[in-house]
Amino acid sequence: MTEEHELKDPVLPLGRPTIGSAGNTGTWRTSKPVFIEENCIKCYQCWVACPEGTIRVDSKGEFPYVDYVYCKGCGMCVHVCPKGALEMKPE
Amino acid sequence: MVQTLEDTNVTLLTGNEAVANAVRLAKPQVIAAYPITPQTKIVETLSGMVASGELDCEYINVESEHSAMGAAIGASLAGVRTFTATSSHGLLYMGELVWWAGLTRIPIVMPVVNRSLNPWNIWPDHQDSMSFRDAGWIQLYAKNNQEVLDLTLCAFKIAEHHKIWMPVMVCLDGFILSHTSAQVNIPTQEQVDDFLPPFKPLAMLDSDNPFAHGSLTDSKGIWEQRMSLIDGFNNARVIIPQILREFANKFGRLSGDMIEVTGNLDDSDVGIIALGTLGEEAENSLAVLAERGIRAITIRPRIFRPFPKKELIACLKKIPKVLIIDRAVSFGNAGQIAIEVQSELFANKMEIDLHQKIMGLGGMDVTYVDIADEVEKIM
Amino acid sequence: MSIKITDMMDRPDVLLRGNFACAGCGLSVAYRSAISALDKPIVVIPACCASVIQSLHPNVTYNVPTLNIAFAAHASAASGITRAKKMRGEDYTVVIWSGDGGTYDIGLSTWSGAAERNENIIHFCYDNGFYSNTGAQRSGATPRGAVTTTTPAGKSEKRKSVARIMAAHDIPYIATASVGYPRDIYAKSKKAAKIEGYKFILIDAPCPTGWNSDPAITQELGQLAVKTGYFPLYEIVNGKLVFSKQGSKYCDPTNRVPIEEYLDKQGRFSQMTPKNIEDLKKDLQFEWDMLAKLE
Repeated sequence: MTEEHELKDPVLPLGRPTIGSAGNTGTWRTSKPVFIEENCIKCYQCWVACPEGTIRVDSKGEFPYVDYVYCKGCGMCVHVCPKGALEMKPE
Repeated sequence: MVQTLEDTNVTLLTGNEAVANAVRLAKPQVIAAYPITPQTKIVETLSGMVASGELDCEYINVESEHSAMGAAIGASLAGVRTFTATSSHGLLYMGELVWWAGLTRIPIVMPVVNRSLNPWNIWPDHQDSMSFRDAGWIQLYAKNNQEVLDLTLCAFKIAEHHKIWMPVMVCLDGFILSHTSAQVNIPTQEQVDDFLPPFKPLAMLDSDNPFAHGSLTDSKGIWEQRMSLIDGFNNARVIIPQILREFANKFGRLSGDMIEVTGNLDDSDVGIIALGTLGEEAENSLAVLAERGIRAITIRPRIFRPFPKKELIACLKKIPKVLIIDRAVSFGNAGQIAIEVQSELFANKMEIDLHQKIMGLGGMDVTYVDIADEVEKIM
Repeated sequence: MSIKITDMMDRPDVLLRGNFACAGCGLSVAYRSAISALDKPIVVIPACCASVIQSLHPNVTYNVPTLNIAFAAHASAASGITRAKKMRGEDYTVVIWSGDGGTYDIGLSTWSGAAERNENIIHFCYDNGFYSNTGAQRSGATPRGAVTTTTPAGKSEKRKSVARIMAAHDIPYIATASVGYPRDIYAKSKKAAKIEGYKFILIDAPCPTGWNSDPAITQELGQLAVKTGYFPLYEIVNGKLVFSKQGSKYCDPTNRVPIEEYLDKQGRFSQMTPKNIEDLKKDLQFEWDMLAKLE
């Protein structure tokens, strides 16, 4: 240890909130949910059921859409839709 | 030290009361603790100070030592100065989170009132704190009740230095210090405020700047954090002496930095290395040894982590022979101080007539005559 | 409290998309619904799936201040945060987000202490009935008969009633909720936040990976658990139990959907014999009877 030792700042174990923290998880998908807009009644059941938050709603009153970059293709949105406004299609 | 009637700041305090008074003056905002002999009087005294309003602090009566450290980690990250204290099996039960606090850099101050481990024995040795010398904590060892108070105050300043930012253990021998009254000079609040600035968090749980602390980390992140911890200890080697010197300038005590040398280093036949009260007992053996014609000195590390390598080697270069007394054992090898001193001697390509002795386990009484006898045996 | 889905959209995402969670993760639905209901949450997460799904340092999926801590240290760490924020004069909602392993088993002592001190904390337990992040081992929450990797022939003991243990602490608010009804999770979370003291919300969170079920039916499984009487929905406010709207009619066993409809959709129950099913039904009725005494 020399007297002119450089005093480095501590590296603390802090992680920062990041979209896509696990990468583009859309690549996990084998099939994808697709909206049939004319059937959608904007009940947003799909939005609340989606574990990932990949069903997006721009602002209140808008049609929801899917963020395919991250959608893992679980199909929950399709399963909960009361009006058949979503269907699973193979990738 | 002779007490004069004029000096009203000097009072009789046990080691545990000395800790409590230092903590009162340091003004932590959260204390979380669980009682264990011989630490209990620290937390009893502090809970009394909180109850009476003497200390403005949230006191959490947790249900275990594991939770004491958990609460301390949470409180520290929420942005306040935080304190806990434990001993022996309490330290072991807390163990998982002692490592958590060390490896994730939580600046908690925790006295460990040294006590033996099982089978049940409440008397002092260093097996408890020595088991955690690798856990990323700074470790200080006090020789008397005054030093308990002084080092506890310094501990907060060391832990919270932004280039260190690590937890600190202040180790004091159970009963010998914790339950024995001795004269202690208690500084005033103004003096302490001038020495110890308010807690300034380096990172705090905050909605405006959200982060996840201690999240799942791969080898690259672990490497980066471990290397930073090594850097932190290297920083501490530079900064701790500065803090002790500042304390010495302001309070007139703790001179001598990381290690205290007693006797004439430049003209001695043998050195004795020991921690805590054994170090002080060794100081008292010097006069006996002088009567027996042996010129001895003591070399007492106040700081065991970071290990004061440079300072020890500088001393050892001047003496032909050394006796290292350990109050704990690394089973399967030797006493921890002996192991570490030998490693430094090798690293510095030094040969010295080195002897080691394990003494005082389970509270076995070690007097200055016992130490003198051990030194005489190796002469 | 009646909650519309659009009410739940008020806040920015608390769980950011593109994380490590499995497809169809029940915990993720529970987390989004519960945490988005809270003002300025600080979340304490012990070892559990929630510590894994946050992805790898330095990136995390959680968009709120989060402290990861050892398995049995959630309630102690949360206690420390609560008290420190009180000393700092800052208003936060301090939350424990623990799995059933951390709540039913290893962390029982730490939450019991915090509940006894009545610390101002909301303790959420997302309950998937086994150790999910280590790959599906038995926990105290695993129901009788369920196959886990450490009960390959099916668990031979009944599931522990953690809510009744919690009730014995006489804390001001206890609720059960289900991923089958996300709006109910949101409403109960919001309600808990208004109450001072230790609050506990147990959330049934299906795990398609560990339960060997179709990821698309996670929400349906949550609803079936309620409709079959497997998972009663209720609140205990200051010691008084009230069955929740979605679940109250299932107090009467004749209103319940046959339990087989729930079991048949999960691979973990594929080894169940008729005797196992009868024993499980007895366990469930026993729990209903015990809860009725708290009404």
